[in-house]
Amino acid sequence: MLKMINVSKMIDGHQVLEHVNITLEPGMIAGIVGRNGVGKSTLLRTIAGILDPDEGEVTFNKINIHQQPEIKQKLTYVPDSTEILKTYSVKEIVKLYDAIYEDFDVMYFYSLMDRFKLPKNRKLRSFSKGMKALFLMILSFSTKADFIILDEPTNGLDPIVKRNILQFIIEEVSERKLCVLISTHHLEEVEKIADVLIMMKEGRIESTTSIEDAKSSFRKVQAVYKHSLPERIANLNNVTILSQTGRVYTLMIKGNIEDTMEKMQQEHPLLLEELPMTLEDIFISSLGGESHVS
Amino acid sequence: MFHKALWMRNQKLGGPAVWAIYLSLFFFLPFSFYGRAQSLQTQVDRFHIDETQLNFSFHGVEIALFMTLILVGFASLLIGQERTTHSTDLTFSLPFNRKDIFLTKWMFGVVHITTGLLLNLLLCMLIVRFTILNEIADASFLLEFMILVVPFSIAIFTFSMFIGTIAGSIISQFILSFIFLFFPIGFFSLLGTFLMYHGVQLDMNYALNGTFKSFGAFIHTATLPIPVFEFAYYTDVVNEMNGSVTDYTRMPDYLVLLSPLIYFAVTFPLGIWLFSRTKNENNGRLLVFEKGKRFFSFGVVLCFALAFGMAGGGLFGSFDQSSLIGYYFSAAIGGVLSYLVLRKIMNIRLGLSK
Repeated sequence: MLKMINVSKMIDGHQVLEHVNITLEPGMIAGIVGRNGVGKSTLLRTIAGILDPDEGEVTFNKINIHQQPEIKQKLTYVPDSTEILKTYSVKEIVKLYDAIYEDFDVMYFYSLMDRFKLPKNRKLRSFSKGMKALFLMILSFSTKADFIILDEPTNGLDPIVKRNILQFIIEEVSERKLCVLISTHHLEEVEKIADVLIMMKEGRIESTTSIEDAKSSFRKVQAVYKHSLPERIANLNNVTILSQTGRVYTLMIKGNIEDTMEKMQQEHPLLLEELPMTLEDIFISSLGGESHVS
Repeated sequence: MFHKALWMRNQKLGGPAVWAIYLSLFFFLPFSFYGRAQSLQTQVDRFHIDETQLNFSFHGVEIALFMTLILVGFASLLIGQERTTHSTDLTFSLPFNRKDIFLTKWMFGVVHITTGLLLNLLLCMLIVRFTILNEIADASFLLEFMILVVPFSIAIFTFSMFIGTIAGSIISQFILSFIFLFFPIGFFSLLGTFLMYHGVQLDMNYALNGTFKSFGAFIHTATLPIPVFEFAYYTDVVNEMNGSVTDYTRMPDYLVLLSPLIYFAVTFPLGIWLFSRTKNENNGRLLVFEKGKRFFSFGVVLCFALAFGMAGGGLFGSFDQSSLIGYYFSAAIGGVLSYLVLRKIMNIRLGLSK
């Protein structure tokens, strides 16, 4: 469905995207995570056709979106800025989107406005930041696009609306088999709704895995040794220190889990126990960078 | 090519400029004509003046100066504003190709500019025909003015749209459009002075209707708004023999119409080409394209050096002899200063509402 093939992009002399390859299929929710400035927004803006790649191509249903942007009738982008349509009233926006998108569903749009209790007779300027973010998302889903790109969609939303909107995204994907690509810093959201986790690091795709696979390839443990962490363990490439309090170490093991646990046992720990793990732990150990043992 | 949605979007972006065009043209043309007709009528009624003693004049510069400002502002609202407010992210993510986005913007501007001019000039003709002005003026001068002002206005707007494809923000588009609109006359004055300091004289004289007869005349014609400024119509001469009114229209040679045509032929296709390759990652900066930076910087430094040289050469010279050393000394100061300032502003990113 959507393919990013070997895409590279340089901005201000920095390689922001480097040979990026992504394939996304219908019915999939993909969460893209990475630290600030890693190239997430550039990646999304390149997929949306706002930025041109220096190398490679982006295709949607095998059609190059930069050469034939008409294909974007089925692909919409919701930017992280909520200011873009602020001079418009809701009615004007509906008119505009109805003129842009052939399949824009006005009735469905107003039903969603009712469902999320958004005012219908006001200018977007008078909406709160959260209301604007919600409105832009509703607008995007009402275009009946098959692929929706959301850049930081839940910024500014209160927990209740956030939960509703995440539920709404899941409903839409399961009903219409559309594909949603979300960039966010709220890892618990990705954990809740995404099927696929795309990790970005320094302009490259660090990994693309399902959430389950990502979790099974990591293990979070707490270990206490008589003295400090044995050098043999500290030198392992797949072990990251998440935190240290005195002699108590919280460690993240990436891959080769059983072997590593065996080696840790051989060092006679005073305590070695598995801890519940969140996506945030994986994020910090994979993309954090600075606290690696070796 | 025509997309209703893009037209609607442009209506929102360029709305203030559209109002400004219609209102200002109405104010400068029919409203002003009617006011003057009323004033002449009052003179006749109150002071029993013979109509042949009345005078009436119209100068292109009256509307052209303000019109240039509005045309450049219009183009800046359509392109530069989007870059500054980052709403390019919306426009460029829509299912339209970039060529169509540019063409719709251009067409939107041209339709309103042409309609505004034609409507208001037509109203002026009616006022001239059906008021006391009919006794002293011949409305055909407005037709001549129309032939001149419409292509020049379209060319100025197209030129400013083209500048919008290389400028990164509304402010840089507005300022660069003005600089480059008057660039021929400005640059060749600087070049003329440079050559003069080195013993070469250029014929900088400009004679009306002598479009290509001197270097100066050619440069005037090549500077887009100037020929419209030159247009004038006046009537106040009483012919003693038969008592009829004589009028005079100062219309530049029709050859000057080549100027907007050439400007259009170059900047319109180039604008489409550049807009299709626009680098949105540089929105908010002075320039959108990295590749043109060096050439642009070289040009700016050269112009500032020449300008400082022109000013300084005179200051250091005596009353009958200008100083070449003073010229180069001032030029060096101008060049270095402009280089330092430009290096700073080149990387400033001007953005609103992100």
